[in-house]
Order: sequence, then structure tokens, then C-alpha cells
Amino acid sequence: MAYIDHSPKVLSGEMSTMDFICTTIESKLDYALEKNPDTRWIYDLQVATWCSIRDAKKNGKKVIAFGGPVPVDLIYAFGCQPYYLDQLPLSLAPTTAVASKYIDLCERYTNQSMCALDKIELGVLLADEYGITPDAFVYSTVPCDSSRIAYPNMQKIWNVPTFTIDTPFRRDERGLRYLAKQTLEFIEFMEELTGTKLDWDKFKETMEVANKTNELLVKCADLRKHTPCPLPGTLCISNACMSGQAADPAMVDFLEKQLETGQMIIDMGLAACPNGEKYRMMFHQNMLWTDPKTYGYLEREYGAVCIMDALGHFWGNYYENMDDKDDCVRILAKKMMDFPMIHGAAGPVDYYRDRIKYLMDNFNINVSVFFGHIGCKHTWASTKILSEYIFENWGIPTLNLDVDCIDGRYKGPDEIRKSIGEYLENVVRL
Amino acid sequence: MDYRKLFDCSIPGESVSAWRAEGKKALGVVCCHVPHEILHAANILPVRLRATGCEDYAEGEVWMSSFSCSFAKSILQFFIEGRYDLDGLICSDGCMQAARIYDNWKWISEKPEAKKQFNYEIGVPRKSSPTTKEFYKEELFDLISEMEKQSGEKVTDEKLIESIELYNESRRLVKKVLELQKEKHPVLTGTEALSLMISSTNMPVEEYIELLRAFLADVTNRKPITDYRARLMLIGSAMDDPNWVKVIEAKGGLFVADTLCHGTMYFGNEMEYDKSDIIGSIADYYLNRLVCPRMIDNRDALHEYILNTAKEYQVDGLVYQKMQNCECWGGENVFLEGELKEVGIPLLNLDREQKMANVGQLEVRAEAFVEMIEKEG
Repeated sequence: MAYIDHSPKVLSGEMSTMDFICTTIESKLDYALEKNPDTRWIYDLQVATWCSIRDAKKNGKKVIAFGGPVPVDLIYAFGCQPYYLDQLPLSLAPTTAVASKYIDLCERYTNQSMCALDKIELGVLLADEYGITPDAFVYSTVPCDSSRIAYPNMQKIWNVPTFTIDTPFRRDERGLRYLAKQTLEFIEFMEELTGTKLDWDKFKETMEVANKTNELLVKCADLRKHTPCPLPGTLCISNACMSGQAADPAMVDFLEKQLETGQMIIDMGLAACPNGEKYRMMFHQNMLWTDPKTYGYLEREYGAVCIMDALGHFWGNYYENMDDKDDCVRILAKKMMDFPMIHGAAGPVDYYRDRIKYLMDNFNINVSVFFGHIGCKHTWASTKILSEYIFENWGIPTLNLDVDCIDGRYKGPDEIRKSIGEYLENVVRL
Repeated sequence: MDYRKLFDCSIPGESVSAWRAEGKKALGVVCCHVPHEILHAANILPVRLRATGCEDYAEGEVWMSSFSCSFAKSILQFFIEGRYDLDGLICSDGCMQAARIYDNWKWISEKPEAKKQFNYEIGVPRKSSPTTKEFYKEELFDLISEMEKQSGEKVTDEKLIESIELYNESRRLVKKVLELQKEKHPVLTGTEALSLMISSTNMPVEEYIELLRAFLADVTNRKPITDYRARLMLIGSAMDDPNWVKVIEAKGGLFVADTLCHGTMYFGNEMEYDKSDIIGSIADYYLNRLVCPRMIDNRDALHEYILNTAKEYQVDGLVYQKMQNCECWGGENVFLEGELKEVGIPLLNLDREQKMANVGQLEVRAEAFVEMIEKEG
């Protein structure tokens, strides 16, 4: 079955973004099944995630839209369907015309400098083209200033029950207690919304799934420490979003398959770079959703693989005492602190540096690239600290490269590939 | 008493230097959520940081990139240049750019070759609730301990009350000055009003109060302004440069009201306090005071305030200036534009940078706007 491009229908307003994304990925899955069935695991997760949001109400589930770090595991435990809003711009980004439609609409009201993820999330709502209205909205005061502007506007437009969480700048015991307290308040909110008390046995099931996916995410990351790296850079960007849905059972299959594939590649003596690995790149940011093919290009043409990125890298947080409510709530709070984009970028730069230190010390990195999304201004405002830190401690210079990870009009793939390629060939000394 | 100092926005102000010359400490404060009352109670001079007149922030940009807000970059620039006469920096995470001023300056000032100085950051919740207040209170208790260490003076409830009363007096007096702008023929231009409020960052609150009193005593001797063409209100990003306001006023506009964090909002209403929980009162005040859209739960109140103020001061048009890369003030038009339209208040949107760039363009747009909204007679 041929892949069908539905973007004209979205551009004309005939099709909602939800239907567009679902039809597109279903079509990609069909195509993969016909041409390369071994890759179906990559599409299975996307189909499962998106279609479960689309069909949630039909299946008697409430849809909870969320942005930033929130206790997502609880949403699953209440039998509701989370809708991680960042998935929307990430899924639209490769189709520049569609992404542009919503970005341009949003810019009629907001700064051009606002993060394009938020521009799309707000823009789609301004166009009334989500294709689904959530039953509730939960958001946090970070990851950034852009989201903190977009979400209250969205709250007002959606006008559905909303819960907000204030994420502290500190990642210590006080910050943890603060988030734990708000988590308890969130449980009350969900109980009122759903009309049911939190079923601890059901939460335990959710915790088991979350523990499993956490373990798998960590193992997949650890696999990348291997030289040569067995897994391609594109999987870093897909894994980066997953901690937000870590209690989704569909993730277990995906991550198990990823781990199995990676291990198989190692066992076979192969690697992500088909012609030999030369450059092991750490990206401080890593979000080229407009053109994931760039990763394959760099691996193929330069033997350069993105080993890990400092924003998407993930520490596993595990529920250990599942009968101890206080302990579980603390883990939920810890997970919010360790959410990608939060752990490194949203507080004092010291946390970002700590993450980079871990990656530099453990992943055998020889190239440092700040592959920075222009909308992420607070991470850009830390670039010199980070590049000095890396140079002082590991003697490696850093390439600062600006991209718009969502709006492909900012910089095309050829320019990006050339910038990195020239840097590798002319500056990097191994 | 000569109150001309109220219109002096130079950095550093002579009073700050004089304060330090007495062996007392002066600390730079970024943003509006570090309670000055606490520093004052510790006998430390809080100096709200600005970068008025910064025309070149190249070094700041090296650290913070071209994708950062130029107000933040300019403050960093002044730090790097040694322009401030201070003993250190206290930052709150007002916005994420403000927080990065702290990160970058801390990194730079902790280099082995740098002169050691005090750097401190407090967290300020971005919503107001009993839970967030408790968190903020803990941050404030820490701040008190740090200030006591810095000054060697104990911060007591009595001292805090005394400080609150002083700052309340300055708030009352500024409010009296701003009331004058309601007149059909005010005695202050918007440029002067902004300077008068900004100058508070240049001196101890006691001195500021004296100057304000002297100014108010002399108000009747000031010449009313009769030759303006339109009454304007200014909202938006951090604005610490009266010269920018002057460009628009030179085209016939007269700013009679604002919602600037270096202007009216910085002063806000008086702080009410409960003697049995002074820190709780301070936390309440700073979490609920309307300053800017950094808080996620103040948007409706902020818009209501803008609309009410515009009516109260009988403004003919509203100027919404947004600093490039200032996201906090970047999204108000989703609702505000429509709300203003409903009550018939025209809106001029302007993007700007900290330095006085594109003055010619600003003049053209200001002139066109004033011409569009001016009322005959």
C-alpha cells in the first residue's frame, strides 16, 4: 500500500491534526509491513500511542492533555489517557508546510522568538484543529518561558478542568518535598475529575510498567556506551520523549525490541555507522525533528554518530516500596525533576554541567556539539559556560549550531549537514 | 530640597557608592521577587539592577548568545565591565533569562583570576497557593540567614516591620505622584515619571522618600503639559531607558500610565502584614503582586488591571513594547488585543532591543500611531 500524503487536507482545514498524524503513521506502518516488516516495531509504538489518544473517548477513557513534567504515571493509574502535547509538534515537524501553518497562525499573536513547539501547540488550538478536546489539562510552570506563556492561554481557550504544578529551580530535598506535596494535590484533582478514589492496586500495575520501561530506557542508553555505538542517533531523539509516557505498556515492546536490536548489532560486530565509527558525538541538545534523516547521513558519510544528548538523557527512577504511599509519591516527584528538558535545562546550570560530566565520563565522547534549538533561549544562554567546562575538563571544543527543531524553514538539512561535516573534518582532531 | 536626583538614571548612582564608602554592603538584585525589605532589615542596600544606556552588549552576548534577551545580556555586560559598584548579586528565577544572568556571572566571577564576590539565587514559585507560599517562605528564611551572614546584623521581626513601613511609605508617595498623571494637563512627562521611578534603584529608600516628599511639595510650581496630542499607556517587557519613551513623546504622545516592572508595577500596592507571620506576609505580597506574566495564574488579573488603568487615566492608546526574546511578555495579545478592541482602545505593538536601535523606525511608527488616535480639540 502506497504512502498517502494527507497534508493538503490539513492545510485546507478539512482534516484535524489528530487524524492527520494517525492516518500518516498508519499508512507508514502499512508501507513498512509491505517493504520491510523488520522495522514495524518503530511504527507500532507510534500507532499505539496516537490511536489510543484518538480513540480514548470511544473507549470510555478521559483524555488528559499535559505539558512539561507532571505525574503521568498517575494518569494511567486513574484509567485515563495522557496526551503529551509535545508529541504534536514533534510529529508535525517533518511536514514543514503543515508545521508552518500553525507556527504562522500563532505568530499573529505571539513573539516570533517563542519556541516553535509551543507555537504549534497554541497555533493548532487557535485554528481549532486538535481534533480532540481533552477532559482536563495538566501543566507545569517549566520547561521554559515559552511554555509558561502558551499553556495559560491554552487553558483559557480549552476551558476544561486544569491542574498546574510549580516546578522549583532546585533539585534537592526541599524541591522534592515541594513536588511531592503538589503530587498529593494532583491525586485529589484526579479523584474529583474521575469521581473515583485512586485504586492502589491499579497504580501498582502502572508502577510495574513504569519500572520496566525505566529499566529498558536506561539499558538502551547504556548500550550506547559501547564502542562502536550499535544504535543510530535517531533513537536518541525518540527515546528522549519517552519518559513522559513511561507507564504506557506499548513502550515496553518498543524498548525491548530496541535493546534486542542493539545487542544483536553488537553481537554481529556491526555498528550504527555502516562504514566504521570515527566520531562519537555528544549533543548538548538534540532535537532535529524536522529532519531525522540527518543522523543517518552523518553516520554514513562521516562515521559520526550521536551517542547521547544532555537534554534527553534519562536516569531511571524506580518504585521500590510500592505499598508505601509516601515513597511512591516521592518517586513521582523525582521523576518530574528528572524529566528531559527539566533535569538539565530548567534550573541552575550546575545540573546541566553534572549531566554533561556523566556523559563525557561514561560514553567515550570525542566530539561536542551544541545542536541548539533557537527557541530554547535559556539553554543557549548557558552555551559558553558549558563549552568552557567541556574544554577545560576534556580538552574538546564545542560546535554551537543553531537550528529550529520544529520549523524547517529556519535552516535546511543541507546547511546543517554541511556545518557539522565541515566541523568534523576541519576542526576536530582525534 | 533639591529633588533633581529623582530624574538621574546613571549607573552606579552616587548614593550607592556613598553607601559602600561607609563600609556597608550593597547587593545587586535581578528582577522583582527578591524582597527588598529583607535586605533593608539586614542593613544591606538592595540595588535593583538595570542596564540603562547600554549600547553595546557584545561580551554579554558571547556568554548568552544572540538568542537571549538583550536586557539580560546588558546586565551581564555591565557586570563584566565592572560598571556596577556592588558587593554581589542576588537573583531570583523571575524568568529564565534572569536566572542565566546569575549562572553566567557566577561562572565568570568564580574564575581563579576574578575578584571574589557574593552570588546567591532564590527560587520564586510561578503560581500562588498555600503550598507555593510555604516553599517561598523557606527560600526567604534562607535569604535572611544569608543576609545576616553578609551584614553581621540580625534580622528581627521588628526590623522587618520597620523596613516594610518604609517601603510602604515609598509606595504611597509614588502612588501620589502617579495620581497626578490623571490630570488633563499633567505636570510630568512619561519620560520623567519613568525616570522618577527608576531612580529609586539608585539610593536607599530613606533618601528616596525624602526626595519624593520634596518633589510633591513642589508640584504646584511645575508647569502643566498642554501640548500633547494623545494620552498613552506603556506596557510590556523590562523598560529601564527613559530615552526610549522620550522618542515617542517627542512625536506628541504623553505616557500617563504604565504596567512596567521598572515602573508602576515595581511599587505596587502597600504591603499588609500580620505581626505574627511577617515572612508569610512578605511571601504573600510578592507572590500576589501583579508585576509581569511570569506567573501562570495572574493573566486575567493583569489584563483587568491594564484595562481599568487605561480607563482611569483616560488613555487614547496603548503601546505594547516587547523586548526581542522576552517570552514572558510575548503572548499577551492572544487575549489582550481583543479585550482592548472591545473597549475601543487602540494598540501599538513594538519590538525592541535594549540598545536604542531603529530610532528612525520607532519615530515613524510613533508619529503614525499618535496621528491615528489623537482627538480633535
